[in-house]
Amino acid sequence: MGKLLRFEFRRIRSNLFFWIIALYCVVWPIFVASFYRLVFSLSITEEGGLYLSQLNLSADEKKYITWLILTAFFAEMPKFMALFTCLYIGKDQSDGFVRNKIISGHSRLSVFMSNNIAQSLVCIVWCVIYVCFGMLGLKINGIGPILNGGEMFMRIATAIVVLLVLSALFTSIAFAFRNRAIPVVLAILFTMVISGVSMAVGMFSMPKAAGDSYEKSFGTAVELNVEKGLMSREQADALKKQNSSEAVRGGKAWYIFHPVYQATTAGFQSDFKMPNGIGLVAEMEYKDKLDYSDDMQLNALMSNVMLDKEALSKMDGISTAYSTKCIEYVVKSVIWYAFITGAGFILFKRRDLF
Amino acid sequence: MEDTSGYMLKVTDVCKSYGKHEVLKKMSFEVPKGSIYGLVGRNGAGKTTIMRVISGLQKPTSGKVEYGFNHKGYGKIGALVELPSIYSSKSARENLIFQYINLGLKIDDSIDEILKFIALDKTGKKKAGRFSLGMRQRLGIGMAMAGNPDMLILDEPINGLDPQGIIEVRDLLQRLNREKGMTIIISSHILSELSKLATNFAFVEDGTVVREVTTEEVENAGGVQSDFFSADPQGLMAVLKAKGLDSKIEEGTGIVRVKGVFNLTDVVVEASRQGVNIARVSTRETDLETYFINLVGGRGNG
Repeated sequence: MGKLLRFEFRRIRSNLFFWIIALYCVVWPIFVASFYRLVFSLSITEEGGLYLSQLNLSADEKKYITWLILTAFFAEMPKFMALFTCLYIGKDQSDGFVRNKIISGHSRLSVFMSNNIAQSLVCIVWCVIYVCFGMLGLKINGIGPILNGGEMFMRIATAIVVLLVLSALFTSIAFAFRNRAIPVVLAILFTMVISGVSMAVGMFSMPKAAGDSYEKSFGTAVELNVEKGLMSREQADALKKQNSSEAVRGGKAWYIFHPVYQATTAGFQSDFKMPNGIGLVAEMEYKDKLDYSDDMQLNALMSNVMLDKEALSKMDGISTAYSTKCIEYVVKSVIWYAFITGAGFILFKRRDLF
Repeated sequence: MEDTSGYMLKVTDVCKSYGKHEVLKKMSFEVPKGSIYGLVGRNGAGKTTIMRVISGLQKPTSGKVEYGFNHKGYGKIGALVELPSIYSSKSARENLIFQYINLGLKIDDSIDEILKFIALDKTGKKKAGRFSLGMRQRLGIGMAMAGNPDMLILDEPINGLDPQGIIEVRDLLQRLNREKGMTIIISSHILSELSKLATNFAFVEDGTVVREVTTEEVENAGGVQSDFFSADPQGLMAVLKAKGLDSKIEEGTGIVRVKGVFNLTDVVVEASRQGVNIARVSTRETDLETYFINLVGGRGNG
């Protein structure tokens, strides 16, 4: 295995595409940080003209922007990983060097694992470069970085670990086919679909306990309104039905998507509000926990029912600390990494090499 | 697993199927140590498949492949199966460096020795993708011989080469066998070339080895063969039978074929005496191609 790892590292070092992506990871976060600086410094004069004012951001806003920029790799890296992994391993297969390795006496397990490890390390290196130069970009633009102690690092590390699942998947896809074209197309298609799937799965993240707590809290508030004569029994019953535990969790679809959310890492982007189009205009707040109470309070308000947010947020299942979520995602990622790697190796082992 | 019987490789009842298609059917043969072992067979006979199995690229459906040397470890077997396994975007030297790392070998002057041995030492930074077919084949052989393997497996190494390339590769393989003592298993469609190179042959037909012979056995098998062209083949047959010669009339052509050495003058004089006219006589020794055609029924193309 050591020989093959040395082989892969040397090959990666001489790979132009690897360095192009590495350069992107240097330039892009600095550019984005500078863009944020520009956007937040723009002010409008009384006459309607634009001018650059002094940057004035709260600590929470700086933390939020730091988080946005430093984790943008999560949305950007998959397409590069898909291309790089499939082309890199595909070349080994199309040029026949993978045959050389087997003929030379290396086991298929060593060949597969050395590539898997090398691709994972490539992913880690790119992400670390991105994060480091993101911090540099924030620093030179006076936005931060504000890392919130170890908390920010823990979340970034978790994001990288979640990405490694994709690395294992792309490696397995690349090893499953003889040519380069099919894995490239499949992997790119997968990266295009995964974002949408993540968003969909993320919509059904609410645990049953949270829905039940909301239903209970909402029911108590509605009954109070009935007692005070603010609404009729019929109105109250209709509202309770609309705000049932199942309805607030997403209806019948919850029973399909929530198990997927629980079993996979697909909800990560949504749970952590990872950088995406919505993220750019979302509230400037860096949260410590995944909390459904805000949405629930808003939901109740739309039915003209006031809920005590303080009381609601203390109810069962309403919120989970991000530190707990990080551990959950790391554990899930490790399991999926092992599963995908195992399945990929079995496919490769059974394949005839030509 | 180790065999000390003097054989480098022993293949016993190897079967290989792709789905329902059975490519190898209980194939068995033994490769003597230090030999150049030629696999002869028509397209689709199973030569490439057995080479893939021997080199570990494919697993047999059943049967045994035993090695007469310690094949565990790295670089004990070198192979060039069909196409050379080289990075087209790297130079000859870079390809060899990667092969050395792959084998865990120290990168030293031996790379230059191999480059010189395969006559690619002057290619510099030229990428392998821009090499001629012959150069690529030679590089493929160079990659296979890195680390001085005990056994070299070469599938059609002279395929597509020009006459000069064929001579170069033949010379290279003979030197590897002679100077480095490598056992070489080789297949080729060009039987005339294979006969100049190999010391032993296995004739492969329909997924199985129908016969194993040495070069001497091929040469001695048919010995000399003479074809008589006459307007009266039956009359000529009578003359030949009277002389006690092993002869027969070839169906369709009317050619009278005689096996073995005989006094041609005696036959011609006797035939003339009997009033049998002989238009022409052609005599030749049995070669690999004739042997193969006689063995598999004349349909093969080697």
